Amino acid sequence: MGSIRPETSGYSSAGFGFMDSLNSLEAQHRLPARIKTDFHEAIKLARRFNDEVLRPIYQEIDRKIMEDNEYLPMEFIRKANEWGLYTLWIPKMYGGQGMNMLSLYAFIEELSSVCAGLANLIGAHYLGVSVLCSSCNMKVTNRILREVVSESEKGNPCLISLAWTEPGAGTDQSEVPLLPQAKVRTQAAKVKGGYIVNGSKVFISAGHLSTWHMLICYEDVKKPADTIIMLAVKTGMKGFTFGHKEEKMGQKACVASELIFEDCFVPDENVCFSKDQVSGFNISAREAGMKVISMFPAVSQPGVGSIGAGIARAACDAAIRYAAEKKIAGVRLINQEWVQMVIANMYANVMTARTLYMEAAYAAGLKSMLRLLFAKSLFYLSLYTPSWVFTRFVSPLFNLKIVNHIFRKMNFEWTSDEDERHMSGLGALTKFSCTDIAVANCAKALDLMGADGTQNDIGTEKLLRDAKLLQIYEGTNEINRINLFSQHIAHNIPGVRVFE
Amino acid sequence: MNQSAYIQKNEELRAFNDLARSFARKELLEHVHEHEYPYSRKVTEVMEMAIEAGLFGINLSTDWGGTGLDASALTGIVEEISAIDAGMAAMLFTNAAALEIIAAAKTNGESCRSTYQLIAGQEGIPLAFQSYASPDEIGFPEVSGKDKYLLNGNLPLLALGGMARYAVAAGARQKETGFSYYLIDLSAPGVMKSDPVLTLGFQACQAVDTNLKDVPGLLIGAEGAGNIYFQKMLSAMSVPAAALSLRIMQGCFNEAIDYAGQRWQGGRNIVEWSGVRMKLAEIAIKINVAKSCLSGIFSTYDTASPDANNHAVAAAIHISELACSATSEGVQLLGGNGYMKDYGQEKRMRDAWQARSLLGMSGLKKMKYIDRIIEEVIK
Repeated sequence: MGSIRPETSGYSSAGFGFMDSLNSLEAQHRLPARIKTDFHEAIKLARRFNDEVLRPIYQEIDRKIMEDNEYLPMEFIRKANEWGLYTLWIPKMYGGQGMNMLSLYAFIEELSSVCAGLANLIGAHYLGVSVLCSSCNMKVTNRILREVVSESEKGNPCLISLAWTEPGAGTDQSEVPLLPQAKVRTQAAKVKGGYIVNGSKVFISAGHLSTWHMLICYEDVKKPADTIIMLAVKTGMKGFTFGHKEEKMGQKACVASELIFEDCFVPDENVCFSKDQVSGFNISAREAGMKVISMFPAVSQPGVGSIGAGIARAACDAAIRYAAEKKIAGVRLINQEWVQMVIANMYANVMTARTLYMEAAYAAGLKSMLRLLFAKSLFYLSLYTPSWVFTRFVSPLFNLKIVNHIFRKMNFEWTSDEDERHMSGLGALTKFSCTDIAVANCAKALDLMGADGTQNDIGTEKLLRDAKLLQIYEGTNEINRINLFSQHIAHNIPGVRVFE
Repeated sequence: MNQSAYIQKNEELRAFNDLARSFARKELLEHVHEHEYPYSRKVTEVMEMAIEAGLFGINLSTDWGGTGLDASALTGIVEEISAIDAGMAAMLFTNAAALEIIAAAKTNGESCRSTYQLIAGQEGIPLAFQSYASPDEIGFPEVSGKDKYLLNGNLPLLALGGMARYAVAAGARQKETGFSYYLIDLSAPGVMKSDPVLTLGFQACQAVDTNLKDVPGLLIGAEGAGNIYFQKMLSAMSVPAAALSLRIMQGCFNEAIDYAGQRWQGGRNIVEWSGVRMKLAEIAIKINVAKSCLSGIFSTYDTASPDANNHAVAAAIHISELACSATSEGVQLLGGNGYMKDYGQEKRMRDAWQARSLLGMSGLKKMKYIDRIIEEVIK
């Protein structure tokens, strides 16, 4: 009797790129050996900063903001500035201290293991820096980052925020297929000498505390995908005001601000990217715009992953310390097998999160817009060249059109689609995995600690409140899952449709 | 018999449910956030209104001024209040749990007359109680004396401790493993109370850390029988606990589906995205599973099943876990808006987590649950 089952070749697939997930292997010989030393230094610095600055104040700040949502942690910002944290990871070519960017991830993990809200007051600034750099506009980038450095040296913290989310449009702005239908409202109209901006932005991390705001808006809100424009707006500009501060569940130290633009004039010199700057490249305005806004998540999403790893670690630490001390009916919790299994899972989660964000960090060093900084020759040249050489001889070059052109060419045309897809998918994977892990570990810690875990002064409940935001900002974890599917999986499947 | 049939059967209960619903809408709805830290509205005022309405005496005997229903009758009331403000529902729950301890002693043959006399007097209700934890977790004050009991030590996280005149508190003699329950006067000399302890959820139901120094306690029931009373109370209060979590979940779902129908992302209302629908489906399934669990418990009560108490404890543990994951997804469905105070989702998530530790940490409750089953099997 013949089989009535249809013939099948099975469902195994060769779609998983093995080497794509082993960036660390590639990094071993391609990235400078010095980055290991930088990591050690960054972690040492973070631990000292935690002990001397964060731990004494973080709970009080959280409580103060619960009592008065208008409170801003200015003292922390001043301290962070005194420690040089707002310029430490700015490349030397822009006047900064030039610590390698990858070590920032480890630094943020350390800070987040104490307070994710305060850690994000450093992280959000570097998100702004990354966005500015992703415009590939060397002239504006150099001017603003040098101002950040000089103001910081004078004792005036000069932070940069990213202003993107709008009341009616959030995650859909960051996805190519969704942007054309997004209900965006913030528009920049070309006028003589600049642009007039109208609209508003919401949920802007550290908005009220920042001096510069990297505003992503649109020249035509009916055609957002084709008219992306990035403007550098400075606090105090006419027509730009701060609105309300959101009352958030957690990460209270890092204010989420509303930014309001009413006939705000932004001069041409503050245009970081616009469709008019694309001529001379072999890509359309839409492609260039989407490249710009998809470039920085590859760098920033491992950062969110590192916050997730930090919180996951703090939750694990709390659970271990609690279980070691707590006795139930005379027996220490830590001596119960079921507790040991829970803690082992939490520990494994921390290791998984750290491995993931470090893989994404290595990929950023190898393939993202940072890759030039990590080319061994340039890396060591920058390391051993005195800052004044950059200021006197390199900085003026950034004003040359040809330098801008080459830099943009490198990022717009000389980055392969495969690398872009890899970076984007890996960023998404890291973001949603590490942040889900953070929430999962907080849940396990609270479960283990019962009522003790829910008390504010013990600190564990704050971890859960803080962690939850990670699943939402920088693209909800749901949209990041679809993005991973789109970038790493869908292209291997004929006829698959994403975001439709 | 399912839960709704049970409720229909009891007109008096239905009247109380209606009263609770109307009270919640009229007195709580507009002020939910004001009852949270830093407490811009005095929670005591609302509590007094609820006491006046009789909501705090449901499971208190009619002989002592209560309604005389059992704890399961509290389920509908807790649900109605929890739908608007789970923190206020936790206040009802705490007081009812304390009353159940006394009722458990009474059913064990103790008169508890003196205790009830004090409760029935002025300021007798509400009762403070450590409803956020089990006695095993938090330890006891030390008890000394023979006819006159004196309590010394800490009573951490005493819910309603800052508002109530009396507390039902566990205490144990040195070197004795068993514990007993005592009624203590929180206005007595030797009682020291902290400011309200800030907790993740149920912030309206303020808890205080309390220190007792030679504070007289009135023994409730028999000495050393505390654990028996606690387990009886745990069984009785598991149904209201489950109802409290269920209603938080339901509120969260209602908010999420409402929002999904209005929020526009990527060219359509988000409810049109299958990923959103799947999340909504998962929450809806959790809610229906929780409702089925509760109905099942009511059936076991109606048939006087010997397993009824175990079912109730299991359902409370399970539903509280469902509520934690459902409310987290409920926040997620609203994205950034869900994380902000405005939509109430973040409060629901915090309250769901607080509810999870009601009457003890869930790990411990699970271990006790399986201990009981294993004991039965070995018998």
